[in-house]
Amino acid sequence: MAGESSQVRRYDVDFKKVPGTLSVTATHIAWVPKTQGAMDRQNQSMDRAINMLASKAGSKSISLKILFKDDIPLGGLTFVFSNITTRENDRKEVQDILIPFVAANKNPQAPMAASTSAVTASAGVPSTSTAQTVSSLSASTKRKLDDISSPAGTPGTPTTGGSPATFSPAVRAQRKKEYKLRQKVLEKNPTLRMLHRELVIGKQITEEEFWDGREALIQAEEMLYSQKPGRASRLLDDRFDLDAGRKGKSTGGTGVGIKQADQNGPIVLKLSKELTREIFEEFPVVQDAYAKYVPGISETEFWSRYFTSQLWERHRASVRKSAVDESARKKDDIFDQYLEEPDWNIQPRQTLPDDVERFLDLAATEEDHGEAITVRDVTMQAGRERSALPLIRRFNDHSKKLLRAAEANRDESALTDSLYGSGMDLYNEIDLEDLHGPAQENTIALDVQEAAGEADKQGQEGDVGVLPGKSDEELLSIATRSTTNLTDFKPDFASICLPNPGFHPVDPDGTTNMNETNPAYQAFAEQRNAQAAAHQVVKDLHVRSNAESAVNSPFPDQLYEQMKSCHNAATEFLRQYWSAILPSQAGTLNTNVKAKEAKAIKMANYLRSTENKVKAIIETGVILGFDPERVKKAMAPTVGAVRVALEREAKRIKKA
Amino acid sequence: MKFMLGDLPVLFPYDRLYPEQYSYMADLKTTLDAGGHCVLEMPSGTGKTVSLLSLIVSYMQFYPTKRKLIYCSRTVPEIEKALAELKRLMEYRAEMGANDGEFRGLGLTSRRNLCLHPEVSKEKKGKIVDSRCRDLTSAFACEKGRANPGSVPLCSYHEELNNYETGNLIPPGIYTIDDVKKYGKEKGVCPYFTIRRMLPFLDVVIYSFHYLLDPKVAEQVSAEMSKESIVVFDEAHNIDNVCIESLSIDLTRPMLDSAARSVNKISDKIAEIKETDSQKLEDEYKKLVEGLQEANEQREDEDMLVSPVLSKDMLDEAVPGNIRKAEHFIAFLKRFIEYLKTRMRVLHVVAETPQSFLAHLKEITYIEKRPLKFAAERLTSLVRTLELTNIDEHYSLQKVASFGTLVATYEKGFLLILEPYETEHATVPNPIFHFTCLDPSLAIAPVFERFSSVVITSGTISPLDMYPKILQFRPVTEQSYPMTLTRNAFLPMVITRGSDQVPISSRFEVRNDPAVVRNFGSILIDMAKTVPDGVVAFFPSYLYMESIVSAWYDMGILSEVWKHKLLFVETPDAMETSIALRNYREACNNGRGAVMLSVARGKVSEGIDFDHNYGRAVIMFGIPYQYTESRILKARLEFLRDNHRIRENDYLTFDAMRHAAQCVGRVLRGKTDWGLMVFADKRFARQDKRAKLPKWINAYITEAHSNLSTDVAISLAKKFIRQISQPFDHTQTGISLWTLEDIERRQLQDREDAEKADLELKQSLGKNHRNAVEDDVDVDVDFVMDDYDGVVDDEELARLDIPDDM
Repeated sequence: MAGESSQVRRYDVDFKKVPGTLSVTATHIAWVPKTQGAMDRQNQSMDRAINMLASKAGSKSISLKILFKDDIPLGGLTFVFSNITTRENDRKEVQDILIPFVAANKNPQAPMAASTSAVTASAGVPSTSTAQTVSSLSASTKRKLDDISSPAGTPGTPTTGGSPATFSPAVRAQRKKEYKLRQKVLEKNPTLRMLHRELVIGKQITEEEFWDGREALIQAEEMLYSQKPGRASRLLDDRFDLDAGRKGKSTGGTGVGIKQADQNGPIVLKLSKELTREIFEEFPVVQDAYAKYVPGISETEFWSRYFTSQLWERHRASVRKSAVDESARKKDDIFDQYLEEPDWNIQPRQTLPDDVERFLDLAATEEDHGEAITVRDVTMQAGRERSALPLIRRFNDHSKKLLRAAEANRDESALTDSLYGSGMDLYNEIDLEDLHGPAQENTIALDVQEAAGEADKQGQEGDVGVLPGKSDEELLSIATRSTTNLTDFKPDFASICLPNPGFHPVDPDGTTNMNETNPAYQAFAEQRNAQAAAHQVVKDLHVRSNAESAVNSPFPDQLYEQMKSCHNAATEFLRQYWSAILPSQAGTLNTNVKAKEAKAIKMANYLRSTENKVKAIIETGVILGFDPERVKKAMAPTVGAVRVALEREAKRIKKA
Repeated sequence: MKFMLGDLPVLFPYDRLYPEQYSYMADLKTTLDAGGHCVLEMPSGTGKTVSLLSLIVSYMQFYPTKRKLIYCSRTVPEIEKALAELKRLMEYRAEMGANDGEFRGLGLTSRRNLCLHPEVSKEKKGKIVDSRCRDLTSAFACEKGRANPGSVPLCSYHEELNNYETGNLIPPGIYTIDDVKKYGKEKGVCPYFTIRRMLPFLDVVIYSFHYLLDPKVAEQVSAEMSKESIVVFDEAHNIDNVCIESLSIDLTRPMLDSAARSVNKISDKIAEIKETDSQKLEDEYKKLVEGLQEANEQREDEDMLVSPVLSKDMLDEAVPGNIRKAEHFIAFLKRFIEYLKTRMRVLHVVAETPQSFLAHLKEITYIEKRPLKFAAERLTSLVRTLELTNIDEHYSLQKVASFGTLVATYEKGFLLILEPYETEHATVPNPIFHFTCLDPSLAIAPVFERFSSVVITSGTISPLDMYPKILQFRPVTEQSYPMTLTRNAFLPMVITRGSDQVPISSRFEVRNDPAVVRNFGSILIDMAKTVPDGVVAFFPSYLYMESIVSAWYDMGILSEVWKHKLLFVETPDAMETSIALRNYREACNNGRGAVMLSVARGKVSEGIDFDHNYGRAVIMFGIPYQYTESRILKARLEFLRDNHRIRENDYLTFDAMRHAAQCVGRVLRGKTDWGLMVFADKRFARQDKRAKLPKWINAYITEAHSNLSTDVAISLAKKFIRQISQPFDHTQTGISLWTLEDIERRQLQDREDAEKADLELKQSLGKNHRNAVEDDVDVDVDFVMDDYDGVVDDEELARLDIPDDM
């Protein structure tokens, strides 16, 4: 590899008390003894480094211990940096180089151990605890990572121990994030988790296929976690206590404090990480100074010098006197070099961008009217109170920074400079919305020609009225007759319920059947048959109506589980199939056609086997003594859907 | 929509109309028909510009006489918006089938806003841009450069313009300023000169007031506008100040020093020219003897050197002998400058009339009035003869010459004031010599005389009768339109005291009182907490704003405001403020919310709109009075009192309230917009202040809301905001929004009313009128009145007190 020699760094390093040279290239770390043969040469790939340990600051020897994967070499390598002048820096450099490798390697190592345990969490165990599921899930998902590199033709054959040494740390970090999100989604959604368990761990489809099409869930999860609270908009002010609002004590003001000065007591500085960060953001020169000087002088000294210096006075930009006496302000060689003229001229110090939208352009107006030949009176001369101008500029800058911080991710294209853009904006500025008429209705008029005819016809069908065709007197007579019938009704059970007239035995020669010829008996028989028939009808109705609301006997568990898993699998395959067939939605990535084609064919194959699975289930039902009809009916929708998909597939293949 | 006003079809680019827009257009039409001037006050945010433009364009296109429209506005943003409105209107008209033919409309602004030349356009100051442009485009430079290419640098954009025929430098249509620049970039022509040269051929010209009122530019630009043109002054509430400032000059010590240096430079140049090419000076001398008026030549490149006096005051005489020769003239100028320097050494305030100044001048330096009158002209011709370049260096000298000309030309209505110290308590002298015009009618009188129809309109020009008085003209129509609203879309409140019941005011004596400052601050904090999106606050002066911002910061008030909204403040630099405005708008748009602190009568309050979410509340801290200790103001008040019988207090209040109204009016645009208007000063509660607010604001100030303390006001504000944010059906027509049917109904009603009135009149007069003319509908009242012998008792009549203007 050609360019490598230029990237080699060498350090004077002792290994096992033998002096030598440590060489670090882009991929390997190697040690060679000074005198040949004094000690074995060491050479390790940095990818294998999993941990680094450094000796404490202040100890006599500056050493670095590196641990590697699988503990080879045993106990790691301990290097002692021997160059008197530069050893600390050397060690730091080596540490810096090794950090990314170590970081990338540290985490995937842990579940590797877990994956060795047999992970056969079968689909048919509904009562596993969540923790177990999750851990096995994570293990399997990590394992699936290894599957990705191999073509995922068949689901779930774990390749052994493929160390992800070929992935760069960035990709690994990305994958790790993805796993975490998937885990979270599954945690939140128990049905999805069960489905996942059945299908993926049951090796019916691969992990990737499972998540394909469910990206929206992962994205939602991601967005939930990526929202962070924004920057607080307070402005630095050294008058009030930093914690005034938080701890409940009020000091009369609500600013952000850096120091409190008791009347004549010592000045107390309350520093915090946030405070220093804010100072660095607002005054980059302080950050500059910090970077240059702090390793030399201590932090407390740095900050106390800053707050008593003239520079802080300038930065504060406040008109009133600060807590520190003017006379106490000494010259300070670090900070005085950053002193500049306060920004109180009419022209601001920083150069401004040249163009603003025309309808906000105040400078254009000033130049339009020519140089003002009349001097405005004293009160209307802008910028006369010079002392207030730096403060005012500090406000505008601070607001601008807060605004930009909020949209740090977006690019600057929000401000349109194109003339077409500003023209459009100008129209928005002058538009009076409420004068526009109401928008066109978005309805689509249906062009139903027959409907009108239909509606008209309804009313005209036949004649109207009660019992048409009869005259009024006839109707009246019918009505009166019916009413008299009803009022004079007397129940006569005897004629309805005939007694059995007796049963005459049949003659031995069977020629005549007295029963048949006896009229009473015939009547009775008729009535009895009629009764029986009516009874039967009513009974049937009763049974049937009750049957609708009757509780079915539940499916036996084993059968039920099988049905469920078959159905889930079929649904998943159908989902995959349709997403492969149908045109992609607007906005989603356009995966290449071939992959989709392949997926469609694969899914169709799976679907074909569904019918057989269903038959097998029915057999099981029969074996268990359960009504196969019910099983069939229960699985009918699934089977129907599969059929539709297969028909479509057949058509598609025929067309292609 | 299209509707008829009398016989005039008007095309209005929206489907609906506000009732006040209709009345506005109707009155405008009657004024144009009658010929004459008018003053119209239309509430801001009700589409004044679009009504104006649509009526006048329809008028122009319908009637046979070809009239031009000259539309004047205050600021470049407003000019740009007006151009955009016009463009949209013409597009609408084209859509509706109106055949407008070759309709042209352009907007004019200074070179600095239009220049495309890579080096010249980089200059920031307008006068430097003008002078560099002149170097590249002046007549003598062009001659030399064309005769001998490469000898003198020329502007390619300017030269490119020669390829186009005059009158067709830009195709027909409406172009905003950005459009013209784009066109210029594409074709490689100079936008500024395109517009200048096209001015005589345009149908609509939109530019700032100065191009019509300021004599220094008006001659060059607007001299060719025909008398038939219709002139509109939009946002004209400050027009009297513009008039006054265009005829005033201030001189300072550094200016005089610079002028002296220029004089020396010029005299060196003269000596040089005498040796090399004395022929030029000879020619000039001859011309001056013959009395040819150089300044009247319409030279494009000379708009830096024009006479500062009104054209009618320019003289037709020959230049006096003692300044004809160049050296004599230079010596003359030197003497004048020395005299001024001596005058400036005086350490007490001097106020005198021009005559007394001239008398003293003559006594000391023997400079007479007559040659001094020609000073500016003579300088112009000298500069041209010497072919000086970089004349921005001689700017101070020009000003001194203009000063001289003005002093010598005008007698009445002007005053010279020397102020040695800027303020009363200053110890270091910083003398300024003010030559102030006291009479605003002088600058605008030529406009009224020359053009037959002048329209003065704004959202806040109450009281209406003040303007005809000050500007000395008689309007045909004076109207103020109320705002018709279906629901109260804005809430004006007057806060007179803080929550601690201490009265708040920006009066000079109490404005630095810590309690008052704190109360103002708490108003700002509470408003920032309560009102969503953008809040704008106006202060009476820059001095006050800058000092109160420091005080607030020290009290911790601004830190409290930071918790709720971002803070932006107007700075002296215009570009910086524009950028702050842009950030302010962004903050309002993305939900962060922002507060903008600016000054009434400052850059921001004129021309920047804070409509919809950009301004949900406007706070007026104090009353924006002018600096009452200013001598100029005192002189002006005296003049008004003496000549127009306007009381000083009245004028000051009127001036302050018009600016306050202008600031708060920026918050509304359209009737779906809503906003809070807070007047924070105890003096606003008084009736005389409130009476001077425009009618449309005054109608909504109730007694209950005109004497509030801060906490009560905030609770009212909260209630209002909650109520106004409820969904509301804005499509309800009939009351505040009219459709075509409503217009026609109203027209029908008007007609009926008119007929009824006529009938009544005829009936009441017909009894006494012996020769009843039944066919004649227009009853000539005066004629009838003469016939009233015996009916009207003369004595009785004499005893009645009939006011003059009846």
